[in-house]
Amino acid sequence: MIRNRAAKAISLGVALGALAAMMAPAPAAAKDVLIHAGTLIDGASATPRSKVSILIHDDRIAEVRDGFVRPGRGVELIDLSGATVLPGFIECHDHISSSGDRRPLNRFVQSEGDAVIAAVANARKEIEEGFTTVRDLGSGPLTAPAIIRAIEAGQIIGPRYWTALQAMGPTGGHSDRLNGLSPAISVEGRDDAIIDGPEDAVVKVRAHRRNGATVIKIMPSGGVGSIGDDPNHMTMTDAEMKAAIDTAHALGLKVAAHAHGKQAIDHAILAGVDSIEHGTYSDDESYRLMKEHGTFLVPTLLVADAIYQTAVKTPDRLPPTVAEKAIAVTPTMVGNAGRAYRAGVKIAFGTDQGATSGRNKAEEFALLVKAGLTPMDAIFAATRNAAELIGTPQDIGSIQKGRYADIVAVKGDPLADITVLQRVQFVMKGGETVKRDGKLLR
Amino acid sequence: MMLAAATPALAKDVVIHAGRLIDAVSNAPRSKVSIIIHDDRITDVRDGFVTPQGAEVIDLSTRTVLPGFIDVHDHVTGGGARRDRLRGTPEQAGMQSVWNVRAILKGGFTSVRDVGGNIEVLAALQDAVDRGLVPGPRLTISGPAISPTGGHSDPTNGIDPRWERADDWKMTVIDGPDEAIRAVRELRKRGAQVIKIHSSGGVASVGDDPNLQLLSDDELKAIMTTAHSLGLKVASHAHGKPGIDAAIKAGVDSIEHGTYSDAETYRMMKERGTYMVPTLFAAQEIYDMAVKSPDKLPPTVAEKAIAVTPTMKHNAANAYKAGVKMALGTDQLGYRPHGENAKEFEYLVAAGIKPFDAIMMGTRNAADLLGKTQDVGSIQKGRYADIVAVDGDPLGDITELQRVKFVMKGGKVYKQNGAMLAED
Repeated sequence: MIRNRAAKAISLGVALGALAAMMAPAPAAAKDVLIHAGTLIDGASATPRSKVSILIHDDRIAEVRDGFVRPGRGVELIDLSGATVLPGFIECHDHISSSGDRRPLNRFVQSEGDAVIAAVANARKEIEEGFTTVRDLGSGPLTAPAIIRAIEAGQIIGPRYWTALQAMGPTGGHSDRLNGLSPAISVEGRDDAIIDGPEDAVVKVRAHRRNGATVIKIMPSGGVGSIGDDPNHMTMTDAEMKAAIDTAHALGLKVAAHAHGKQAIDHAILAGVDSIEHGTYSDDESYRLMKEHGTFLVPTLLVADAIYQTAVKTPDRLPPTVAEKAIAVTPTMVGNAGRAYRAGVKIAFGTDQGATSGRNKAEEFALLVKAGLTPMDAIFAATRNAAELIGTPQDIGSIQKGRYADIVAVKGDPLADITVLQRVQFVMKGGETVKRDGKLLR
Repeated sequence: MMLAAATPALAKDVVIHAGRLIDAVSNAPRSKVSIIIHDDRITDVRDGFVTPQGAEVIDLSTRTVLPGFIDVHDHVTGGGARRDRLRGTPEQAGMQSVWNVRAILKGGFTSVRDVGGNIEVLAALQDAVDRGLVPGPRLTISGPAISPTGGHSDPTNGIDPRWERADDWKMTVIDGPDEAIRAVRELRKRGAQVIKIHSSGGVASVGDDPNLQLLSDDELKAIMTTAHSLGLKVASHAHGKPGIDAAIKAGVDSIEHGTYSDAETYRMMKERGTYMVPTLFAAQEIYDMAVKSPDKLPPTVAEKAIAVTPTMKHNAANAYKAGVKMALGTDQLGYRPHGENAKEFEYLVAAGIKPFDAIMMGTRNAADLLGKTQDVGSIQKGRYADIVAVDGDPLGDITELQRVKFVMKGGKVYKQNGAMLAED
């Protein structure tokens, strides 16, 4: 199967290259824009700056200057002098084809078509909420590449995406779509998300990259929103993790590890993973290892809160065993975020919750602050830290010369009231104003 | 079957002294009657309390005695495993069924027609009941129902086509008369004693419309001809009038549910002797769930349930008034624990049927539909000693039938003074 696809990909390679060149949008005439920022949280400095001018040329920031400079001829002025301006937010843990509806039947009912439609809606909502970069840690084999192409071609609006395509884990693990089902059942594509053995890990990581993955997601522990697997278990072997991580790093891809139990967390860190997602049952030793290895923690408090609320209020909407797991795991996840932060672990922002699920992704900021982060550090989690985790701080995560002009603005002071980040008034992505005065422009 | 039947160790005469007897032969209750039983059958029914020499007396002289009840529309493998197309396994269904049939017997139902479930599980269950390994009612089984692609029992309805099952989950999904004939023969080979079809769409399924006729006339005809020539009756699930009328014209033996029947339908049913099985318990059950916890139902089901249930009740009353032959069926889907089949009597009476006639629906009429009047459905000479008793007068309070105190099946007592006997 994999071999056939590879052959096909090679034979189509030349034609595809030509096609991509044809499809790329023609660059518009060079454009200069000037933003007057009343208050600037630039994602680099630890304190806000007042009255700052941001000069933008085409899709990048050309200069950041103190004071409100006058626009030169042909320069468009965007007046945000009454607002707080920040770098576009970065979401490190998303599932772009998720609607947030966790009713048990959905996984059988929803097709690739539904996944794409959900992703289009999510992309629009994400950019509307101020997220200009999103790391998709699992949405199926075909959805993210299609959405990315459509955004690049200007057909739809959405953030910059990094995608893992599908998360990978062992037979019976969190990514096994057959968990809890009759053994007579099978589903197309299931094996693509399964790693059994280090050699299989190497092949699957390579295949993911070939199919468009720009980050690799592994599942070394069980999970909450799935049937039968235990979040406390380490479900992958050291050799499997090492093989996946080494292969990914050699190919220039970062690796995110879904991990709840301490053993899976610690072993993934030792195997060289770049981020621990969830990280529920970490302890002081885990934090020490993370600091030693520079590993990020992505606490995903919004999904924990969302599933917890569902488990308490409408448990019928969850598959069997999930409600019990959610009620057990959530309080620990919140406590872990605070402890890791105080221990000095690098925290990056991730919600694990589809944008169209009825919760604003920026609620994660408030949850991080509630867990013990300062508002500024919560903002750093979604800007410079997230950019560092993704691996492109030269492009995103701060408002500095040379970065993409990914810029948002809110009314009020987020350092005093973090919830103002849930009401983004202005969004610019790559120099294009997408949202102004609280309204999307297209 | 003959070989498998349990043989009592020692033939013994038993006599039941019945204070009041609704025998489902006479059209009124009788007082003080003796029922004489030899082995598994009734050998005599005599007025007055008599005790043949050496006979064991079962004193039900303060109770109302009736034939064991018959449910002609149930799903005894019910519970999560039967409903869940993708998680359920036959092993789970088998385990669940053992509990279910015991509960059903405990409720006074000594015969049950199962019109939809895994045929291997049902055949094994029937065998275990007949051999006396599992306490339960006499079973008449259909196995999975025959439906067209996209019909009420197409298990892939609403499912993303990437999902597949390696077993024969689509064995009875047919298109065209040839496939219909093969499905009937296949079911019979695997142990079916009745054929269940879906001539219309249904309620507790995704995407199919209860109003539409989904099996074509020639498919229906092929099914009837094949089944009847093999000695099998055919029961058709049907809600919408086109599906109902087409099944009647093709020669079906019973219409299950029958929601949108009209005067013309009733006329045809009377003309041909077709039975109506209204299944009000299931209608009420799914309606309650649609109102109280719709999230437990698949998408679209709640809306369908809310639309269909009130009409089903009216149909039961209308068919009754029109003089259509009617039999009792509960259609327990597994949303509730099994064993409450006698609630159907209450729902039938609430719909406007006389208590006595409701009891006939669950005894002699049901036996007639099963084609087994010589064995079950009445208390008279030659019939199996399938006998139940309640305390009060069910003609005064139909809910008495939900409090069965005594259950005998084939001469063996399973429940006495309201409790199942320890050995069972």
